[in-house]
Amino acid sequence: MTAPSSARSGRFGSLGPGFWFRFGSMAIIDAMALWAMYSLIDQEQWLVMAALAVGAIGLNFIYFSSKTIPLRYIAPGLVFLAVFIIYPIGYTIYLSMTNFDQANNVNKEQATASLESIKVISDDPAEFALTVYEAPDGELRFLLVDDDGATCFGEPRLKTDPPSDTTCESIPLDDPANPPDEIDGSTKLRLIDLVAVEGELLASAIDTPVGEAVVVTASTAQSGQIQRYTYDAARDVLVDNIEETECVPTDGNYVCADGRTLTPGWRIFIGADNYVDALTDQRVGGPLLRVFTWNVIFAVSVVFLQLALGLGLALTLHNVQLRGIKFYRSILILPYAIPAFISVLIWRGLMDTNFGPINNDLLAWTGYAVPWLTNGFWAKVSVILVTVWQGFPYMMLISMGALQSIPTSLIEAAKVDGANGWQTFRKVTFPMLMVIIAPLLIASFAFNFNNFINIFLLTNGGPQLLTYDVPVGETDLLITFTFSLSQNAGRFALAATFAILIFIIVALISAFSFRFTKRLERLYGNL
Amino acid sequence: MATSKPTDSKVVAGQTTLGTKNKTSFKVWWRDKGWRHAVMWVAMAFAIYPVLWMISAAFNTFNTLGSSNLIPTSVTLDNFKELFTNPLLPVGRWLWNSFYIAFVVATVQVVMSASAAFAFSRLEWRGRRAGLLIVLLIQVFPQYLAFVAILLLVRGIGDVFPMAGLNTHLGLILVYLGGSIGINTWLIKGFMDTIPFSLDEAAVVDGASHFDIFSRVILPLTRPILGVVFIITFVMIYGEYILASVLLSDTNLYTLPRGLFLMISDSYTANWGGLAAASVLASLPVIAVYVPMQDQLVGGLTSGAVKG
Repeated sequence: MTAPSSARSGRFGSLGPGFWFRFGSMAIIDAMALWAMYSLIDQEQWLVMAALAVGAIGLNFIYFSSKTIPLRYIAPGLVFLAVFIIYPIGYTIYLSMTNFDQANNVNKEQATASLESIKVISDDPAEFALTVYEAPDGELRFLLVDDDGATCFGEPRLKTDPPSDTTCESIPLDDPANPPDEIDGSTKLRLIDLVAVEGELLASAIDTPVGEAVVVTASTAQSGQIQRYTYDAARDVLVDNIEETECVPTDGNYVCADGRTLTPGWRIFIGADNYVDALTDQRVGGPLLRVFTWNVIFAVSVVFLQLALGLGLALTLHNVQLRGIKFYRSILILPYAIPAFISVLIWRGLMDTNFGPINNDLLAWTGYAVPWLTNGFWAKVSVILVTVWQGFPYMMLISMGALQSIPTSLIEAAKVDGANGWQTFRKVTFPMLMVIIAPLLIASFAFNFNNFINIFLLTNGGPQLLTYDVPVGETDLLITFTFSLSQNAGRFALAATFAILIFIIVALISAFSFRFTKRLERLYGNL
Repeated sequence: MATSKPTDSKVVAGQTTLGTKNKTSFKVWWRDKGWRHAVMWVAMAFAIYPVLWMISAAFNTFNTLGSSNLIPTSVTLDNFKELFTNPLLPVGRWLWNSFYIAFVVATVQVVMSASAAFAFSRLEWRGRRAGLLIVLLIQVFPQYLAFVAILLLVRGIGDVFPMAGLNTHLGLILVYLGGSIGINTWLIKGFMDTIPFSLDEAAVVDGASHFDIFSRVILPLTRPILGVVFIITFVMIYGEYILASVLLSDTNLYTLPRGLFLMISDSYTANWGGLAAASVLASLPVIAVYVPMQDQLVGGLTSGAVKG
């Protein structure tokens, strides 16, 4: 069915190629949404499924109603914004109010099942000598012989499989201590053959009339395994069959009468506890204050030094005709043009304490070496130095632009009033400059406040501080600290808590920036 | 930069040079311009030292730290060859991964942000102001802060669509696509606002539809900022570490930042020659774009920052 691309307007808009493009795209999107809903029903994720259904119906409406034309333009961006920013923000807030970590990341049923699957050897295990045979079909057969010479021959299964009804059977043997080379058509494996199947053997078990026997070594098996914990659903307690105590679900874990907390636990909602811990608990909150202080020092000194250097260079080039100025600029832009992750790794090599070229030269000239990345103080100096190196060209460029845009009449007026060069700079040029670049400085502060790449790739937050309950180092920023909380310590909920705290700080900086800019504009006028 | 206005000192310099001895003229030259050259050379030395070392180490025969000098004793291309032949450190693949992921993300971002910016800048609709406010608020939140939630989200997506789950490039690309849409829309909208509305009106009189106005009138005029947004997004994704390292675990799927870190993170097996060679290859395209476009890029960032 072809439609003329011009007229044919209806309630679906014109039926031109635009319509068919929308029709085709939405057909694909709807098919994917239906498929996703189908499998979400399977996983019993009702809430997500409902959200998806509402979203899909909304999209269809937007692209087929003629009253929602503006929304057609923002819908694609909006979908990605909603799914990959807004939803993760909400989910992070939720996670920060749970106890989600390495040992608490499943639901209660899964945690209980996992504990119930723990088996231990009873006080009185039975030992068997194990001989392995291979049936004509290539499958393994086990022959168990106990101390009294009782035998049992049969088919093994995986330890992880549930016990089967068919157990091994007793067979008459002339000399149980020396099993024959062949039983029922199955041939005995030589020791050398066992090597090839040892992995399989160790994962195997066999059901005997007296219960399960598991393979311990390639030549022994053991029975007498018992289930350590049994869940009593009626009373909602977990019974410990060995210690003969009961474990009660408490705050996401089973806690036994003798004080043991069992893992894995499960995820529960714990409200503001993580925030309280982060701000008050010394083992967690101690590093937080320390990291925060250093984080502010880092961001402030980086921005200040970048500006000092950049502005100094801009002033050096200002209002003067130098030969080679283009060349200077092209070279000076390099630190800013090279992607940060690359230059930081290069600096890491240069600053290596033992083999780095910088220390090599220092040693050769002065006899001293600097522990750039291995000493707490010097590591801080190093990350600041490298970050200043990266950012000063940017500050130089924006300062040069800003200096140009300051009206020369103001400078001349100051001179007429008898101000000298320094006074003119301090009272006229610098304040005017600040009006223009203050928002950029705050943006730069916000960026460096979360400068993950530089810290992570240069020092990885180190050198490590060992006095705390959580992994933290001398040069850790809040963001790298948060990252290692989740990657190295598995404290996901705490990491989410820190992420929200960082976000609050960043939002405050932005709000402050906004008001500050407004105030500056009132003071000096909008340039 | 070069201004036509001579400064006072320059005038003074001109006067003194007339009819004085050479020694004084050097002094004057030094006071007027010479020290500026000196400052520039010092600054350039600081700026270029790591770059020179990187280039020299890339061509050095030995790939340990201790044996690399600023001037290599012998030159070789082995470091570069190894990037594409060592199966344990597939640097060539990482380069390609980073490149195509950043390219796809930047392209789709530009299209989505430009079209959203069009709706915000040119069309009248209810909720426009609220929408703008939301965009403004959202762009304050750095996406990578939510990496734990994003990990779980992508795992969930993988349960339904395995091709976009954990350890897939598609999953990572989708996540990145949500990343900087707020700031990009804001940047492009700011630029679009400066295009006179009379152009739209003229197009409407000529019978143009909203899509004609978007694609034939507005988009061609926004091209400069679209280029800037593309480059900024490309470079940002090219160097993104947190989400890439959380979502990708297979070495062959790594992006450059993650891969290069792997190359040198163990100090006993660190391959600095390889790192330097990879760094040269990986930074060349970015430098080639940045140096000629520095003014536009800084300008683009600046206007975004001022407004944000």
